[in-house]
Amino acid sequence: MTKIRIVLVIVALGLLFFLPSITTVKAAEIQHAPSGAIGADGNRLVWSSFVDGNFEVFLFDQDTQTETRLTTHPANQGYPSIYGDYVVWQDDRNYTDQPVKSFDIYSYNLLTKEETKISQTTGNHEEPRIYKNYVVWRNTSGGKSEVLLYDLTTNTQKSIASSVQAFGVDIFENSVVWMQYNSPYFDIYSYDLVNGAVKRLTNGGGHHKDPHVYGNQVIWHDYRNGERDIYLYDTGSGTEKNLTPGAGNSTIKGINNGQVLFADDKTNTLLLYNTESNQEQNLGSIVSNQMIVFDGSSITMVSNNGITRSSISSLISSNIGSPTVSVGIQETIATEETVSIDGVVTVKLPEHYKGKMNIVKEEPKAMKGLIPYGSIYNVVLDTTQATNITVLFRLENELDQRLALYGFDGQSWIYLGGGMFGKERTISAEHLKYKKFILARPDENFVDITGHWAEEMIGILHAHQKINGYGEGRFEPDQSVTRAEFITLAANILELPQKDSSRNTFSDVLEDHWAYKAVANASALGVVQGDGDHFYPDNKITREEMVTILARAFRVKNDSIPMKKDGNTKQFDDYNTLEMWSKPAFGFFIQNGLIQGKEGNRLEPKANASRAEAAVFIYRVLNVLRGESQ
Amino acid sequence: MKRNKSFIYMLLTFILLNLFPIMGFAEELPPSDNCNHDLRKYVVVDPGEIMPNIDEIATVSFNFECDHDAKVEVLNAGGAVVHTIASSQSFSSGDNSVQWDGKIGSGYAPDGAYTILITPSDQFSDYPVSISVQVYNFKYHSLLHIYGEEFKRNLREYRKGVR
Repeated sequence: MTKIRIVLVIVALGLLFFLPSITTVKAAEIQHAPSGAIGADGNRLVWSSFVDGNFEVFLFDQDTQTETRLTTHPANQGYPSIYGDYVVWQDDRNYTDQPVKSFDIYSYNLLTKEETKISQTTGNHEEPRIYKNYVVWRNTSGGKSEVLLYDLTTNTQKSIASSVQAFGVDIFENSVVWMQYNSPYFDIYSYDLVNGAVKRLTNGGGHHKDPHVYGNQVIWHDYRNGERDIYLYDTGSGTEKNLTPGAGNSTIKGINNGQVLFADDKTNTLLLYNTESNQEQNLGSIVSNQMIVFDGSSITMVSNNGITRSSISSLISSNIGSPTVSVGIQETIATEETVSIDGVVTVKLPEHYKGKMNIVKEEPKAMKGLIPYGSIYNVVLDTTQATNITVLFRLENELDQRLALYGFDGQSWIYLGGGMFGKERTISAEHLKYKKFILARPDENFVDITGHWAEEMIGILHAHQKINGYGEGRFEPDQSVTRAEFITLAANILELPQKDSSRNTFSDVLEDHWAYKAVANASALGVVQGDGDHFYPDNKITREEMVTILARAFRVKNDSIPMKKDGNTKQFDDYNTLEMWSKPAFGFFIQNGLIQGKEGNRLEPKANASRAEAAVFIYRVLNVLRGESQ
Repeated sequence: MKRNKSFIYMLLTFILLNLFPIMGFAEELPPSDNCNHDLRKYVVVDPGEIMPNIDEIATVSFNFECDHDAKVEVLNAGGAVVHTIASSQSFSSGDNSVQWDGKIGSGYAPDGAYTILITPSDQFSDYPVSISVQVYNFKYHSLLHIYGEEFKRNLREYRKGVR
């Protein structure tokens, strides 16, 4: 028994000693907070800190958790980078007596502790990066900058791009990359150390900045779509790809061996994108602007007085099930003119189209302003001709009426509609413009309708872009509605047919009135009558007027349901306050379940209709017109 | 047997208590310095040469990694400050811009090379942002006098087109 106990103790001690190396190291304290970007090579980090009135370079060894000050000169040493036994930085020690200082590049041998000035020309040398025996940086002299390459083994310096406005230089193996200003945009350039060729990787259309290179892959921040996306360029195949379409602003945190680490700025989530599988993993939440070092298998987070290193595997394990954000799970389906997939989506091509069609299914990433439902369906055609396709999504059940079809136009997700009721959403779309489709709904509603009796229906109309707010997310549900506002709203939502809209019936709604078209058309259809010559567009509409207009509009769309003289209005306590001309309309509404009356069993026909009532009444009419009952 | 079982339970508890804090649950760190070090430094000017007397304006675009209050000055080729655009202006971390209309005081800067210098007032004062702007004043004053604003506008547009 004693032997068993001894074995168990040994096992326990072994677990305690070895497990930490594959999980997470506790936060290590640091004495000098980093002021600027951090350089890294394996387990060693370098940064500069403001100490005793100037910036100095520090090295931190994550294995031994020791912090070492590398520089003591009273001038400034900053923007350090480390590789192997060398650290490089920019240093202004030779310009301390000048009003505007310049910098040289210095190297530091960790073994011999020897400092050497390596920049050989005049100018302002900044932001060096080192990889093996090569150091690259930018130099500005005489108003122009250049990219310089220095070889530590031969102590030679050469300019690889001169008379350019170059920034953000980076190096890995045989590739040097930088961002170069070609007014009005920044573009990404690369230099091949083997053949000496400079190549322009991007070409205007927006800013391209902050390049990183690893192997054959160059990534950068790309602003062509109006947000900060992350693009990847494969120097082997010459292909470019947007890794973060439609996701809002993203920030690169690192690239290593086919994995891109980045932050979703909206959610402050750290994400890891595998460029081979096109899969994305959620690694958890971070603070905004978190300083991170990524070495491919672990992530080091650096803060003002602490460092934490976590293995990728432990972060993935900790965040399994986190919502987001996997992308690129794709399936290619058979090719026919009408294709159905999953029992959810059917795509139909016009008869004249003779080519093939594939539907590729993708899992959605975070979509700005929208909550996705289900997968993205990417319709792939082998034509460059404009082709209209019909896309139909079938829902399992009626679910959320706020769901609508959205199409991706290459930059953002656009509302396409597809209907508001029932179990299908269907649209026709021009394929050259929209290739990807998804069911989604807005992630926010008007801020002032939470808890309101009309919240649900207003939310549905809003999700289908049938109603607008007043700005700052407000709908003002209890505000009154003018007659002009109401007829415009009803005409839009109910999609009244266009008749003779050029007739000018009312003297108070002339052609330059904003509601002229809606009012003139409604008059031509017999939906509004006014008092002959006047429409009174700015008068607040009463419930009585609203019901009457809607009843007439209903009849324009569907005259199969007759209107009785006064319907069941007598059941309400104030039925004798109804105008004669409104009784059939109220009766129509009551018999079709479109109105229930207010508290106290009253119709309150003379009361001003509110925006909420207008929206709800119109919604109910629409609902009945679609053949459903509420 | 009972004693062994108790011993095993104690051992397991001991192991779990020590492993739990380090299994994928990083200690919460205090916030970072709220600077954005993931966006690389840059400073550019458009256009690089201006004619102040036809109302051309140089726009300097740059980024700061951190929030800074900074002074914005114009220096001549000799390094002397000849004009202060802003004695203290607040800039946020990220993309920023300042403009210079080529004037010194109430007059146009003489022809020559100038430096626009943006100097943080904090510990980063030794890391100012600077860029050169060339000033060249349009010489045919009579044309400006005769044809006025429309001429200036057309000339500015022409120069934009040929850059």
